[in-house]
Amino acid sequence: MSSQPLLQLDNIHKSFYGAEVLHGVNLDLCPGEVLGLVGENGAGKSTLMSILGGVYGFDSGTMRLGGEVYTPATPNDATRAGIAFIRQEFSLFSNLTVAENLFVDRFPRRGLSVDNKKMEERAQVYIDLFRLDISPRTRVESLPMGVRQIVEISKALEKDAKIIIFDEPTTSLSPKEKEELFEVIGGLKARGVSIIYISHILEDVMRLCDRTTVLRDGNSVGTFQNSALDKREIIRLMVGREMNQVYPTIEKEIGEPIYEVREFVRSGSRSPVSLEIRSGEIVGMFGLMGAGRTELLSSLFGAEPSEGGEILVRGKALTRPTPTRCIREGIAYVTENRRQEGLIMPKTIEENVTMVVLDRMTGALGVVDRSREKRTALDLVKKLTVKTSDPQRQFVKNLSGGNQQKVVIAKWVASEPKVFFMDEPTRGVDVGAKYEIYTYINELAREGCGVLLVSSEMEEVMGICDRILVMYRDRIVADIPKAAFDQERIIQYALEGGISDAG
Amino acid sequence: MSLKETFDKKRVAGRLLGSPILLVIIAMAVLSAAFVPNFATLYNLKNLLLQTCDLLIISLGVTFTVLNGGLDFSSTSVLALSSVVGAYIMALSPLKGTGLSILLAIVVMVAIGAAVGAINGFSVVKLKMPSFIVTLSTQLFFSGMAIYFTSKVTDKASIMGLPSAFYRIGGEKAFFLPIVIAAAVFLVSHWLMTRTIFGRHVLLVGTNPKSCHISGINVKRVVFLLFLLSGIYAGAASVVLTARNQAGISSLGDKMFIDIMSSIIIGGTSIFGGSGGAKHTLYGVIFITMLSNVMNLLGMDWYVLSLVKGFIVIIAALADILSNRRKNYAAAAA
Repeated sequence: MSSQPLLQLDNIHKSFYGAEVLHGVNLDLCPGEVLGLVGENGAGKSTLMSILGGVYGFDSGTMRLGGEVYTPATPNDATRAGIAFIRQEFSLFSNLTVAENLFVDRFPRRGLSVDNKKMEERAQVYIDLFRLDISPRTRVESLPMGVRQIVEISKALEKDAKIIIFDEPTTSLSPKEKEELFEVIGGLKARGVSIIYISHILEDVMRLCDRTTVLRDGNSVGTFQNSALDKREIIRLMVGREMNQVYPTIEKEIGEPIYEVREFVRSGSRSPVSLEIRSGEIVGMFGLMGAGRTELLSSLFGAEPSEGGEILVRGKALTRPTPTRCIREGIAYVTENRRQEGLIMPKTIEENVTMVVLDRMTGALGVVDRSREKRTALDLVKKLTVKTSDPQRQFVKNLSGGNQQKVVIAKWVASEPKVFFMDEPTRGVDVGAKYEIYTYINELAREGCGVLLVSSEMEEVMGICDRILVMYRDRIVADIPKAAFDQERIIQYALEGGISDAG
Repeated sequence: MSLKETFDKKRVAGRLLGSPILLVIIAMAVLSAAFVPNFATLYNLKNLLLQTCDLLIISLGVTFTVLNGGLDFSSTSVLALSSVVGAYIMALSPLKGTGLSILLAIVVMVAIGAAVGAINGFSVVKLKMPSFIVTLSTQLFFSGMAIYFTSKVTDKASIMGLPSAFYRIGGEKAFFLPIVIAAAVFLVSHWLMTRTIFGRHVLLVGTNPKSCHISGINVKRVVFLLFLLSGIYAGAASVVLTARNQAGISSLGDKMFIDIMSSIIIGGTSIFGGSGGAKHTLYGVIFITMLSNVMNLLGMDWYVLSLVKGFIVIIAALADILSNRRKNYAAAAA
């Protein structure tokens, strides 16, 4: 495509709290083009799109839209510039009608009242355009997902969108609805709308897009004509990183199974899951965002409801898990979200570190043994090298991400667990603290703990795990021992739930 | 903390500066003693002290629910219902006038509080209703019941003729008794909130229940107990107030709720839950009671008092909201 690009991103850098997540990303989009955008979780797709949509600013680089410098300060700026987003979760008001949804942020007026007639006429234009069999007065809640998405697209067109960004648009669609969506996208393209299409389903990207931009670890690997690519090539580009980080190693012994799950079904999923962890073993759990890893962990720990299944902790049955019971059986759970679930931000380090075991330090009448509490907190802070001058006075909210994460781990170490669930334990943590956390996880394993580590970082699971389970749509689709670790294989399981030889 | 540490000069100074309300209270007391006629008289100070005790007991109970980010409107209806039922037992029932009737009345009055508290707690914890709605409903229901009960047992507005021994609890011929009761209730509350695992859990659950649940803390039990305690405290406050008024009154405490919430907010217990405590409420109660007393002595109309209180409460609430917002920003940026 030789025409002047409509959108041009040049050398975009972006950091969050000192950690750079985009290291100079380039992207260009031509008029009437469908551009695929692919990359692993955390490759920077969402951040990049949030920058484009005016949600975040960027640190350096330039964005040009139609040749002019484009720096949206708010999502409204992006809308006004003609950029629209179609996300997995729709932004429609399900209790309003189709017509109302098209105009929800700027109702047309006639005198003091809303001009319903005009709204409905406009809505009818789109209904005809997309050949839908609905009335403008239909409430969105009664529409199937595919039609809702078309309403969402109509809303974008009504606002004169020149660029529409689809972020995993097919997640909640049936195969038939997907075909219809692709037809609609073809129609948009014919009308001269440019499209950025983000998806993990590489077949769709191959089929639908003219070119594909691959992101990896916050860098753009390149943009390729789709005619010159095959799926294997894309996978190779997505994961083809050097294992450049050093992971601590340790001598340890893998023993008997200490945590076994058989046919466990969490509420909201129909797929039974079985797994086992041995003492001293670090088991990684890899998968795409939304594969159901966090939900599985959370319901295994009883923080979310489950439907049934068998759980054995050191051979002993654990029926109907609750956090209290799991803790009693020696299970710990470092949650993915430390700010909301892991920690109590406005409280001190000491209060956070002792909250799980406070009932073990109380004497008669439930009086807390303060000196014991203080000692425990000091010991743990030292053990996990949390950088603080005074655990009794310093509030957790004032710690860096890495130190906060150490406090979360410390609070669970306090309960002397035998099984450790860790969900993204190094997310938002600087490199130094990461290494310390890995070392500590190794240390736990050496002492006979079994660790189940959920991570979206391929490098991390390959670096410190003895075995990797891959999850795909609520199922564990692969159980790969260390000797068979292979980036392309793992990502293929995560993307498609299996290995196919077709390119 | 040892006694020596407690009274260490630097610590005392630090504590004064750390809680501006203490400074305000001291300043107000000194200025009032100097410039407000009749303030520093034995009669007035005694009165002031007794009023502080009444408000303190009930406010401490409500403080528990505020520490959880909720509130308890129904506490004033417990005052009324306990008052008339207790008075009935002592003055009109077959047991009337006996020592046993006093004992039974006190037990029943506190038990009524516990029952109302349990209903509130159950509705909040099990039915997952907001405490605002639950306690507003129970307030209406039980204050209505107090009036209905009174109308069934007597044709007068209040139930009089209680045994005179009971009046001692209100301070008659035993000025120190209500003060001792209030002090004991305060010390127990303070101990409960600062020293016990329950108190620690209250502050943690009030800040972040989700995190507490995952950490194995029985969040539902904690919240239930908070409402139960609030009810029990209201029952105990009713015993003291009924004795003071020497009658069972179905409108007892009907204007008190504003003073309860004002004291708690001005004392510095956060309306978002998770921080504050008995000590804060003590300061708030002293402040509110003294303010009302001084303005009364100065002969100001009740609406002026209302204006001033309203203004002060909104300033205190604003300070709380601003500091909470800052906390959240700090947390988001960390």
